Amino acid sequence: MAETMVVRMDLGPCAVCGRPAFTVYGGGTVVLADQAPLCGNCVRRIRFLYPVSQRMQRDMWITDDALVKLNTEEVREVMKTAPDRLENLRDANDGCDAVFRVDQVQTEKTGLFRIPVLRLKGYPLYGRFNMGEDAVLIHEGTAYPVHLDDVAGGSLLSRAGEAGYECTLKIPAKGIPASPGDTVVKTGRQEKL
Amino acid sequence: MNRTFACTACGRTVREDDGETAYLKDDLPLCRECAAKIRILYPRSFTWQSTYTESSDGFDAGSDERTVWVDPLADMTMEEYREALPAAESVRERMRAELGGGKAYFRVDDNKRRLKNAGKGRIVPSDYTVSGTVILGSFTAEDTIRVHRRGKTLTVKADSAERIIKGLVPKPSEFLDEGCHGILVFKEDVPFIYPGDILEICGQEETV
Repeated sequence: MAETMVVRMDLGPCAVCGRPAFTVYGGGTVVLADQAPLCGNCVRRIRFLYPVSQRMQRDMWITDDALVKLNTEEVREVMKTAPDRLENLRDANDGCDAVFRVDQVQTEKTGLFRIPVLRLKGYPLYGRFNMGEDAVLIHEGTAYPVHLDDVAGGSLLSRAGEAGYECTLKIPAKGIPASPGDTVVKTGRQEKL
Repeated sequence: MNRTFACTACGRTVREDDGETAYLKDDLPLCRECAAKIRILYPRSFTWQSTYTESSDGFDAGSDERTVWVDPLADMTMEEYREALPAAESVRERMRAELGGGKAYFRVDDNKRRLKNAGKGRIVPSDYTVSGTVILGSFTAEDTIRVHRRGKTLTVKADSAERIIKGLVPKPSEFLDEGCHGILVFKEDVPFIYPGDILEICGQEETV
């Protein structure tokens, strides 16, 4: 006689919104210090304040996440202040829609007669960078318009860079200088604000 | 074969397989309009479910992982549904006092750009989408959307709206009602909408 087992693949209701918090298929759930799960949608709202970082330890990559040290009450408090803190970040960056901080620059040669590609590794401070979008690279006070050929590593299911997760932007290197410490910004429709 | 039922609350005819019909305890069907009256208190949510079948010999006879929608109405009786109606109305009044006088309010869960396959292994970006939940009221895709940013207001308009009813595949819809998971599709870029934002929807005549 065949026996069927049905198991729900979530960690229970989210501590803040009550929706099922699942980790599979890009769920992005984080387990807080008091063992309560925080679903991916709630994490996304405050991730720009608690970026994930990785470090090498004994030939293994260790992920450091400051969010897991908070408990539910602290997360609720952070969520109340997060919109204001996001507005402060926007004001500090001249109202740009998204800002990316460059930590590392690599040049990739793609062929004999082809334009090399710059790989800018770093963190989006806030906002989202998607493949195929236009942005502006600010290098030593000068703005260079760039086209994002590809975005890798920031999001599991889409080619985009989310705030708080390390990702790599690929841009054509023709006449564009870049160095660590530069910023890539998306200005969007600021003139209408 | 599509069976039809009469809604337990209003008597309207509903189809079995339209994905919008809610079922109370004892499989009493409830049409979408009647279910939407208390969705503000009992929203649907989805999760993943794993099914594993073991044969009599102890071998794996098949496994499956799929999304399932969790509907809190399935545990309610008709009496509890009737008792929830005034409670939902009071919550609605309180939220309207908190949020303002907009037609509807939409909480953003995620903003992303869709990708489409352009053939020959190329993936190109497509529409900009904002997914989330309608937390108050209902609206159509033609309505104007207001984004409030520290004293400034930005007005945008969605090109279409999609509802998520079954699974995770959204379907185009003319309207999004209270408590429903939906996606707003924009032809233009809307990177100024962030996860956690509450969008105010105003009617077409209130366009700024």
